[in-house]
Amino acid sequence: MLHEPAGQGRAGVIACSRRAAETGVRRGMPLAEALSLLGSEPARVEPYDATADRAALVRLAEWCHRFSPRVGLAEETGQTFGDSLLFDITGCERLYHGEQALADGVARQFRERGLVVRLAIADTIGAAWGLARYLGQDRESVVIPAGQTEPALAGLPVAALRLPPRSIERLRQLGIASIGQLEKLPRSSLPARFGNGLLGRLDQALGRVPELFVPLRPLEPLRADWTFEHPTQRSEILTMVVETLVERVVRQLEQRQQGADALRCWFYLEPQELREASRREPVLIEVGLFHTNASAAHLGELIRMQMEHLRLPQAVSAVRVEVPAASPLEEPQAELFPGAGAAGPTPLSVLVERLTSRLGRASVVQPELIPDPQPECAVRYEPMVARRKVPAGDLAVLEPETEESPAVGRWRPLRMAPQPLAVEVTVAPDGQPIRCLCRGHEHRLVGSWGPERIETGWWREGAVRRDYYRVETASGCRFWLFHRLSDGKWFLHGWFE
Amino acid sequence: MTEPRQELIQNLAEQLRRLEQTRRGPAERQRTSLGVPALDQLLPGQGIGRGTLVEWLSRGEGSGAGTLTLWAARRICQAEAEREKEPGGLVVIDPRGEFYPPAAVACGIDLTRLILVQPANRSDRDWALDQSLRSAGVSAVWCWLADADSRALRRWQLAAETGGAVGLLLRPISARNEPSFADVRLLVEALGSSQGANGREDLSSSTTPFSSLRRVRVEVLRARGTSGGGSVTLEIDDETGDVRLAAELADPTRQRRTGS
Repeated sequence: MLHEPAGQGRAGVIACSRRAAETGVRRGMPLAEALSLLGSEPARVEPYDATADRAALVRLAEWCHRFSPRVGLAEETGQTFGDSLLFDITGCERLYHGEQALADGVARQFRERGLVVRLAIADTIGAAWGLARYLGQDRESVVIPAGQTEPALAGLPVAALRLPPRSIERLRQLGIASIGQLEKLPRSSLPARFGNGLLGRLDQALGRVPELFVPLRPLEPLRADWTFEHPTQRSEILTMVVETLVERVVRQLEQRQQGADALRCWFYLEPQELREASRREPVLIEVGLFHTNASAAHLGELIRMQMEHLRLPQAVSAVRVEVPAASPLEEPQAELFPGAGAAGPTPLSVLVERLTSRLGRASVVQPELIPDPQPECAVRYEPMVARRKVPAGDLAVLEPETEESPAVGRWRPLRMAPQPLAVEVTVAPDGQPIRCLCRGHEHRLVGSWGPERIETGWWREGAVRRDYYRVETASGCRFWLFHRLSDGKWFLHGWFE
Repeated sequence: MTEPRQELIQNLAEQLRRLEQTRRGPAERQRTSLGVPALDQLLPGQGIGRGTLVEWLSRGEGSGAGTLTLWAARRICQAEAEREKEPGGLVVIDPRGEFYPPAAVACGIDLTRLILVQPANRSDRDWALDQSLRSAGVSAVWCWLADADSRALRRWQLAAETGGAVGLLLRPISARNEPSFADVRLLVEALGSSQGANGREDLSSSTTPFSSLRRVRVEVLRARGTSGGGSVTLEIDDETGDVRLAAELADPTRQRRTGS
C-alpha cells in the first residue's frame, strides 16, 4: 500500500495491491482505517514518492524509444496520468508488419519486464488514451483502424475523455454515461453547462481538433571514441586508450547520476589494402555487469581481462567505448581508495563479474532444480550475471521455494557423468546386478538397492525408460547404474561421492 | 608412559604448535568445529581454520568424500554467516561438469548461495580457484582437483589467507606423496554400509532400513602444528547428508562366532 499525507496530519491510501483491495481497502481511505481492515495480515506500507514515480516513468519512456522515435508522457496541467505513455507510431508499423503485430510485440516486451500493460492504437491521442484505459478485463490491446474512431469510442464511458471529475459527476447526474450519449447532445449547449474543456476533449478524441504531445528527447548515447593517427597493435597503447575512454564514459555517467549495466568496446581495424572497399568487422568486447557500476577502475579491469585474450589480425585505427544500458545508482559511488582497485558494490558481485568476464556467461552459473524425472534434465543453469534483480550481497533474499520443490535428492549421486557410460553388468536371477565391468575395471557388487523406475512420457523426444540401481562395491564405494529397458543395456550414470 | 613424561611431551607439542603459528602470523585463526569432537581433536586448533586449504584425498570413485566435504562446507558457511552476520557464498569449481545439484540440495546446500563455476581448461580452473579464494565475499570453495602442481597450490594457500575463504580440495590418493600447502590433509576411505558389511544377504533388499547409511574412515595424513596421524570412523546418511561419529556397534555375527 502506498500512502501520502491527506491533510489534517493523517495519511491516506493512494494505491494498494489486489489482495489488500479484497479486504476492502480503497483509494482515499485513511491509512489507519486500511490497516485496521487488514487486521493481522502482514502488510507492506510505503510512503508514496511522486518524484521517484515520475522519474521511473521517464526511464520507462526512454526504454520505449525502441518502439517509436517519439515517446511522451500523458500529462496535462492539473492532471497527471502517471501510468500512461504515448507513442507516435506513424510509420512504425512497417517494422512489425502491421499494427496488431506491433501492439502484440510491445505488450510482450512489457510483460517480459514484469509490467502489466494495456495498449490501444488509434487515430488520435484522446481516442487511444481512452480506449487503453477502458479496455475489457481480459484484453491487453486493441487496434482501431483509421477512420473508425467514432464508433469505437461510442461505447466508452465519458471518463475516457480525460475530463475533470466534476464534469464527469455532472454528466452522470444528467444520466449521460457514455461518449455516444454525449455526442447526441447539441454541441452548442455543452460549453455553457460544462465549460470549454469538455467540448475540446471531445473534439480532440474524435480528431476534429488536432492534438500533439511533446515527445521526450532521447538521451545522447553514452559513448567515447578515439581515432589513431597511426594505427597500432601495441597492447600497452590500446590498454591506455581504453582506460581513457572508460574514464570519459564514467564522467558522462556521473553527470546523469547513473551507472553502467553493460559495457561494449569496439576495435576498428585498419583495412589490409588501402583500396579495400569494405572495412573489416570491428572486434567487439562485451562486458556484462551483475551490479550497476560506475567505477572506472573496475570497468577498465573487466575490459582489460578480456583484452588479454584478444586476437587482433590487423592494426587498430579507432576504438570506441559505449554504455548500451545504464540505470541510476543506488548510492553515489565514490572511490575511497583510488588506485587500490576500488571494490565496487560487493566483493561477491565483483568476483562474479570477474569470473564471467574471463570464463564466459555460461561458465558462471547458479543451478535451479526443475521437476523433471530424467536426471540429466532436472537442473537448469542460469548465468549469474543474468540474475540482476537480486543484488549479490543479498543472495539470501531469494527464498528457496521448498514447498514446491520436486522430490529431490532421493538417492541422487553427487557426481554425475555428463554422458552415461556403457558398462557390462552381470545380473543375478532376481534381477539385481552383482558384477560390473566399467572402463576396464571389474567391480564385485556386494549390495544393490533398486530398481527405481524413471521414465519420461512417450511424447518427449528421446524418451527414456530406465531402471536405476544404487550399488555398493566390495571396496565400499557406491555407484549409480541404470538398466535401459528399450535394449537391455546397462550404463553407469554417477558416483555417490 | 609415566605422568611427567606425558606432560613433557604435551608441553613440547604445545611449544611446537605455538612456534608454527607465530611463524605464520600474529592473529589466531578463527576455527570452525565440525561438530564431531573426535574429528575436531585431530585438526589443528580443533577445527577448520578460516583462510586455509583442506585436502581430502580419496581412493577410487564413489567413496563418500564429496558428501563429507560438502557437509564440512555447509558447516563452514553457517559458522561464517553467524560470525559476520552476513552470509558468504559457496563457490563450487567443477571443471568436468559432473557436479549434480540435486544431490547437493539433499546435503543441505542452499542453491541460492551457490556459485557454480565450470572452467573449460586447467589454466581457467586454476585462475578461478585463485580468484574465488581471494574474494572476501566467499566463505568456502569446493573443488575437484584431478591434478595440481605445487606452484598453484602455494598460490592458492596465499589466496585463501588473503581472502579468508576455506579451500576444500578433493584430490585422488596419488597426491599423497606430493608436498602439501594445506592446513590439513585427510584421507577418506569407504568402509561400506553401516549394517553388516559382510555378505550380500544383509544388503540386497531395498527395504533394508539402514541402506542409506554408510561408513567412511577419515585419517589425518598431515596437520599443521601437530604431528598428524589419528583416524576416526564416520557414518554418512545418504538421504539427509548428515555426518556423525559411527557408533561402535558390535557386529552380531562376530559376537556369535566368538561366543560359541
